[in-house]
Parts: sequence; structure tokens; C-alpha cells
Amino acid sequence: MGTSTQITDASPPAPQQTVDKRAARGATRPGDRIFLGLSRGSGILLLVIMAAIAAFLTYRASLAISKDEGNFLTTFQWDTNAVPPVFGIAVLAFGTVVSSIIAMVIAVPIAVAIALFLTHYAPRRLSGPIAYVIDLLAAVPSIVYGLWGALILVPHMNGLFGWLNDYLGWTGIFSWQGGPARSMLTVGILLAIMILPIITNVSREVFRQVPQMHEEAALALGATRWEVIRMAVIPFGRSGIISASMLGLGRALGETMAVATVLSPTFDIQASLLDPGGGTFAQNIASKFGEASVFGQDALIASGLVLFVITLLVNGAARAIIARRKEYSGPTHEHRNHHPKGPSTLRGARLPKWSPYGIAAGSIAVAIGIGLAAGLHSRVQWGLIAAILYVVGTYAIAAAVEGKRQAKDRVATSFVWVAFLLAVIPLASLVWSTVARGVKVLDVYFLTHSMGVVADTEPGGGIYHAILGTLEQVGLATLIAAPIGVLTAIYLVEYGRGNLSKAITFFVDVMTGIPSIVAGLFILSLMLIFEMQPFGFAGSLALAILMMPVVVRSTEEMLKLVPNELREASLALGVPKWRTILKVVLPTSIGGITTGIMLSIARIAGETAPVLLLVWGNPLINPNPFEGRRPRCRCTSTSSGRTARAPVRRTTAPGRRRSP
Amino acid sequence: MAKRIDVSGLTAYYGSHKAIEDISMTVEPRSVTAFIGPSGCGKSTFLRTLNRMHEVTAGGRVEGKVLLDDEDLYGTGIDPVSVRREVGMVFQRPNPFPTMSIFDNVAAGLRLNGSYKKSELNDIVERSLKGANLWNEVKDRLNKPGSGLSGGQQQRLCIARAIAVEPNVLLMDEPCSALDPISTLAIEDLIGELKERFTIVIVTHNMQQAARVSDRTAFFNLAAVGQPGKLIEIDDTERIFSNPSVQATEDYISGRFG
Ligand SMILES: Nc1ncnc2c1ncn2[C@@H]1O[C@H](COP(=O)(O)OP(=O)(O)OP(=O)(O)O)[C@@H](O)[C@H]1O
Ligand SMILES: [Mg+2]
Repeated sequence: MGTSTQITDASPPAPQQTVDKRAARGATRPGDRIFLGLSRGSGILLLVIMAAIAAFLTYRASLAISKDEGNFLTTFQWDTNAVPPVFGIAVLAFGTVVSSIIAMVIAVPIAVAIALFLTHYAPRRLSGPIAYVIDLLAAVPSIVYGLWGALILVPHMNGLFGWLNDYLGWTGIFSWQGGPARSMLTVGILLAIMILPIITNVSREVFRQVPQMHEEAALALGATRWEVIRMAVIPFGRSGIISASMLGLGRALGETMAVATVLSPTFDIQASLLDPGGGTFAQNIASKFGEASVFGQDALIASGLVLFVITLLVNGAARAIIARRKEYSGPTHEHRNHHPKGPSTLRGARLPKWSPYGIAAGSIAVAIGIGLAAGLHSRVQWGLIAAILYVVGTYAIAAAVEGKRQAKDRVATSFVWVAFLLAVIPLASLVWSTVARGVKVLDVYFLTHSMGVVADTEPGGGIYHAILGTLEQVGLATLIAAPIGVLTAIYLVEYGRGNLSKAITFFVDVMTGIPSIVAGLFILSLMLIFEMQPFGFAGSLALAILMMPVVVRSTEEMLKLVPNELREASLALGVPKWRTILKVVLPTSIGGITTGIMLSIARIAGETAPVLLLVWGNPLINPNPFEGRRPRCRCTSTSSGRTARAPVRRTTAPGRRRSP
Repeated sequence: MAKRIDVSGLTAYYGSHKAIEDISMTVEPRSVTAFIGPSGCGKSTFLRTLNRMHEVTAGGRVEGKVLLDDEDLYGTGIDPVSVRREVGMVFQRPNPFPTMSIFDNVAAGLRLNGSYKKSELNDIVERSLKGANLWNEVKDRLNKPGSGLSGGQQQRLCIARAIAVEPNVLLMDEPCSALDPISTLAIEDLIGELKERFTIVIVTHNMQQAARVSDRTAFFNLAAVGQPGKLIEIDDTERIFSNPSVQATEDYISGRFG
């Protein structure tokens, strides 16, 4: 029968050359060479983009720093119009790092817990819709998070702040003078809420891929649900969790609009996280860039460079930690410690089904009792006491009745549930307030009309232009970023060994931390070099830069999860590597890859800063993305050809802004 | 059309670990050769060097020669992909492609390598599934996913997939370890049929199976843990099981091992 080579009948095996001698050893078929070339080329392209951004930042920064009178690293001041100019990044570095640390400390455990909840704890009927909502939340524009933070989160922080001040105020970190809660802690919490959906999404996708085999192996040893998670699920997903966290961290470090909306910036470092003040790199760039002179812009770009370097260092450190742990990761090694002793009887003592509710009711009652007796007013306190009582009570009762392992399992279960419920409150509030406020103005007219004929001060007009513009820009960016990202990931997983792939992996991580505004600045300066007008396609390019690392990272994780056996099965059939990748590996992981791409689309669909910078939100409709979208009266061109306009502190939807 | 395999001085490494050392043997065309030996002695490794699958594992490296009808598989300019089209393989653990239907799994090797007419494919798929003794169980659900079959069915699906491309040589790494006695017998009969046309090499831990299906048997062993595995002897199956020339072989076969 006709296969590719002549293996039909011909009884005496004539000494014929059936084995191809097309080229030298290794991956050498034309298809393989082309495919390898494409994927390696994509990886190299990413490196080139990173190098170009770094070079651009360094060049512009050097122009500014050379004229700086203060010490760039330690000065607590930002006055680029002074003669001589004085500016330094100490405050910004402090604020950025602190807010990101707060965000990570809160978001990572909760996100992992939610991912576990969705994959291992939640009833199936519940987990589907919840996962869907969380997917959607990842797409909410950061400006919406910012508005929600300013309108709802900030006022609600007062209770918590008062409580922290009462009990932890003596530390200095948690002292509070009663000002509005537009402080670093609020920013950290808001960032945590923002990055929660991303980390949850990727982690969930990874946990879902844990081979049934691994979990069953653990179950067959008599492991509890929590032990299965510790033995099989977490070790298997560790690299994915770290990737997810890096994606979240990148977004936290570079977040512009949300921070700018919530924080009342000051240019000093305060010990207290609760008092308003402080600033972050991205927020500072966004709020000062519009009014800045050319020199001022260079100074801001210099601060962007520092953010870039910080991202580099953080990723390097994370990578070093992972590398040290690598030897000990993987599902097999953990078995030793957890070899559960077989239960002495088959029917062990079990707590009744209602016991969690019973313990919960009991601890709430006791907490209220204690609260009343001790005269505690804050309900936060009551809740906290109840939570502690619940955990301790569950552990103690379960340990006494069912044994220690069951007790741990129950505590883990309650932690996962609590984490989930804790996250639901702000996220539900966010969805609710957006929908409730939005519905009032949302009608067919709003969707199908542009703002072209309405002045800002009058009600009316629509968002048709904004919808069209968003779709167009996001579509173009996706067309650019998705293929490059997926090919790069393929290179890293399927071909990559050695220094090139290490470099690409590292810089992809760094790239996730590029603040959107810096990507915008980069494209803007390219445009200035080529003397181009702002236009839609430039916005797409900036968005593509933001999108690529997310695509690479998530796709990489998904490809890694494809079992090697499948690749081998295909290779053993004599299928060339590139076809194996296209026909076996990609189809197997297509679900996860799509999630990753959707996630990256979500990331950019809500991205405001670079688009503001590059496109100037034309309120009229311009279907051609390559033609300059010059608005009628929006921007003031300065003599240098630079357009200046404050891109922040306007809280209307993109495109609704117009200068008086 | 079967081909002769001539191995000389073959050594294989995983990184710096030498897994097998200096193996030489000849496998006659249209015969069944069984590999036996204790766990970890390198049977799978050696088998995978015969279709250049060994180098797919990270750090996998091979020294020595494997001649397929006078042509060195490791010679310069040899395309490993073409090698694997001629030397097919069935793995120990069934590994059907999870995204493909039963039909597509069997047709995978053909489809991924070129284009075929639908009727032609239908014929080949049916013949291969019959050959693997699976046809009757799956003929009504050819469009269902392959991963929905039982373990033994999945393994027969993988065998059907391997023979669908009509390789010259078929390598089988413990292909029956997941099968019930009836399917095992069917596979053994199938091996008997296939050897009319193909050269077959099979790794097995089942002595009776080796005795039943093979013409020649090779015994592998390692001197100590951490040492590379070596070929102790290869001879006609009858001789190996009745009167082996090396004491270690006799010990292993009669269960007096270790
Ligand atoms: N992927 C790998 N990386 C490193 N070493 C390996 C790898 N696979 C096998 N080895 C080592 O190579 C040696 C031979 O292994 P191999 O799987 O060939 O044994 P085997 O004879 O097939 O055993 P079994 O009968 O249990 O299947 C063993 O020492 C094993 O530890
Ligand atoms: Mg083996």
C-alpha cells in the first residue's frame, strides 16, 4: 500500500536507498527547517524588540540624567522645570515596589486557592460560570478598576484602616492620621484585585491539565484531597503558578490608570502605608507626561528605564529561586514525606456532614460573645475572631475525631472556600457597580452613535466610535502578536535549548513588566523618528508589544503540559517534527493556548495609556487604521512636532474626552 | 518487505550516564526476535536506538552502527524521520492521540505523511483494525475519541496505528502488558502473521510469550546497578530456553535470578 516510501511487495530486498539522504543529520527536512526558522525568528524578533526598547529608554534617559542636578537615585523631588532641573526616582521606586509586594502577597495565595477551588472543590455546576466570570474580569479595563477603587474601595477602607491603626499603629507602618484612604495600601489591594483574575486563570488552566494518573496515584495511596493537591497538583503546576504570578507582577509593576485614579500622589516616602501619598513609576509618568516639556519627558523616560531595570532584577531573582528548587520539584519527590500510614480500620470516624456549618455557627456566636464582652466595636474584629476560632475549632475537632490528616484536609478546604468568598466580594461589587451605572446610559443610541456631534459638557452621544476603534486596534494587535507569541513559545518548548532560549525566556518575563505607557512611549518615539502622525495602527503596535509576552508565557505553559508520549507516538510513525507540532501538539493544547490568547486580548482591550498617547481618541469614526486619525480640535501641536496632552485624570471612557 | 538489522558496537547514553554498552547482533528479516532481561537493563533503550527514537530524549546519544539492509541508520545524511517511517514502534503504555477519533488515530501516520483518498483510507483503517483484533469492538464508533477506549483497546489501537503505515520493521516494547489473555493471544497470532512480511522485535517480561512468538531470543543483563546493560547472548529461542550457553541466562529463565 502506498506510503511515502516504497514498501510494497518486491520480494528480494534489492540494495536500494529507501532512507532519505536529503541532508545532514538532525532536523533537516525543508518543512522542519522553515518551521524552525519561523519560530526561532519570532523569538529573536522579541529579543530585538526588547533591545530596541532598552536602547531607546537608555538613550532618552541619558539625555535627561546628564542634566539632573540632584542625585537621580536618591532625590525626593521631581521638578524638571526648575533651573537647573532636579529629579530623582527614590519615591517612585519605593512606591512601586511596596505596592507590588502588597499586591502579590495578597493576590497569589488567594488566586491559587481560587484556582484550586474551581478545579478541585467547587461543585461542577458552580465552577463553570465562575470561571467564565473570572475570565471576563481579566478583560475589564484598568480604568474601570481605578474608578471602582476611587468610588467604592476607598470609602470602604476606612473601617479597616481605623482598626489597623488601633492595633498595629504602634509599628508605624500601619499608623493612620484619618486622611482619605488614597494610600499605598489601598493601591496594593486594588492591584491585588486587578491581577487576581489573571493569576487565577493561568493557574486554573494548569491545574486542569494535571494528568488523572498522577492524582489517582496519590489517591491510591490513601491520600486526602489536600494531600493529593500537595503531592500531585501543586508540584505539577509549580512552574505554571510561577509564570502566572510573573504575569500578575508585571501588570502590577506597570499599572498606570488604576493607580493614578486611586492614589493621591505626593513626592515623599512615608513609613505609613495608610496615609495618603507616595507614587509609582507608571502613575508618575502618566500624570506628568502630558504637561512635560521635551526635557521633562526624557526625565520621565529615565524613570521608565529604572522600572525596566527593576523588572529585570525581580525576574532574575525569581528565576534564580526557581532554578535552585528545580531539582526538588516534580511529583515523585514529595511522596517520601507524605507516605500516609494506612488507616487501621476501613471505616474511620468521620465528622457528620453538617459539622462545618455547626463549627462556623459556633465560632461566630462565640466571636460575637467575646466582642460584646470585651466591648469591641469594629465588625472587622468580630469577623477576624470568628475566622480564627473557626480554623482552630475545625482543626481541633477534626484532629480529635478523624485524625490529624483529615484535620489538615478540612482546614485546607476551609481556607480555599474562605479565599474564594473573600475574592468574590470585591469582584462582585466591581461587576455590580459597573453594570448598574452602565445600564443607565446604555441603549441602542449609545452603541450606534459616535461622540462626533456632542460636546463633553452636554449629555448624549454614543460609544460607537469607541467600540469600532477598540475592535480594530485589538484585532490588529492580535494579528501581530498571537502568531509571533505562539511561534516563540513553540521554539522555547519544542526546540529551545541553550543560551538563546534562556535569553528569550528571561526577556519575555521582563517584557511582561513593561508598563503600557512605556510601550506607548517607545512607539511614539519611533513615530517621531519617522515623522509620522499619530494613527490607529501605531496604537496596535504598542498593544502588540504588551500582548506578546502574555501569549508566549501562557502558550509555553500549555505546550509543556502536552505529554511527551504523544510526541513520541507521532515521531515513531515517521511524522516530521514540524507536522508533529502542528497536528498533534498544538491540537492537544489548543484549549489552553486559546485561553492564553484571550487573556492577552483582555489585557490589551482594557489598556488605555498607550492608546491615549498614540491615537488621541478621535471621537469621529475612521475605518482606516493606517490613516492618521487627526481629531478636529484635540491636540495642540507644539513647534517641535510633539503633541502634548494630559492622558490621565480624565475618567470618562476613551473617546469621550475633548478639549474645551 | 522485511529488512535485516545489523547492529555493531552500539553504546547509548542519557547525558553522561551510559545505559547500554557495546551491543552487536543481527536480526534476520521475516523473523521475530524477543528481548528479555531484568528491569533497567536497557531493553527499551536499545529498542529505541533501532529507529532513532533514543535521540528524542534530552541528552540521548548513540555510538556505533545500526545497519538496515546495509545502510547505516546513524550514517551522515540520514533523515531520522524517514528511518521512523520504515521502523515502526508500539510503546509500553498505550498513547492514542487524545484529540483524534479512533479512525483518525489509525489514519494518523498516513494522513500526517501525505494525502490519501477517503476510500483508500477506509480500507487501510479497516484492515489495520482487523489486524489488531479491534475492528469488531470499534466499528460502530470509529468517530468517537480514541481515549474513550479501555486500556487494552487503546493498546490495540496503537498497534493498528503502527501497522497501518506498513513499516519494514516493527518494534514493540512490552506491547501486551496492558492486555487481557484473549487480546494477548490475538496479538501473538498477529505477530505470527506479521512476521511473514515484517521484521519484528519485541521486548517482553513474559517468558512464555517469548517462547511462543519468537524465533530468536536475546538476553540482556547488567553487572550491577549503575553499570551499563549488556547483551549476554542471542540465540535460537529453543536453545535459549532449553540449553543456553551462558549460566546467567539459565538462572534468569528458570527464576534463579539474583
Ligand atoms: N529518560 C531517561 N533519562 C535518564 N536515564 C534513563 C532514561 N530512561 C532510562 N534511563 C536509564 O537507562 C537504563 C535502562 O533503562 P531502560 O528503560 O532501557 O530499561 P528496560 O530494560 O527497558 O527496563 P524495563 O524492563 O523496566 O522496561 C536504566 O538505568 C534507566 O535508569
Ligand atoms: Mg522498558
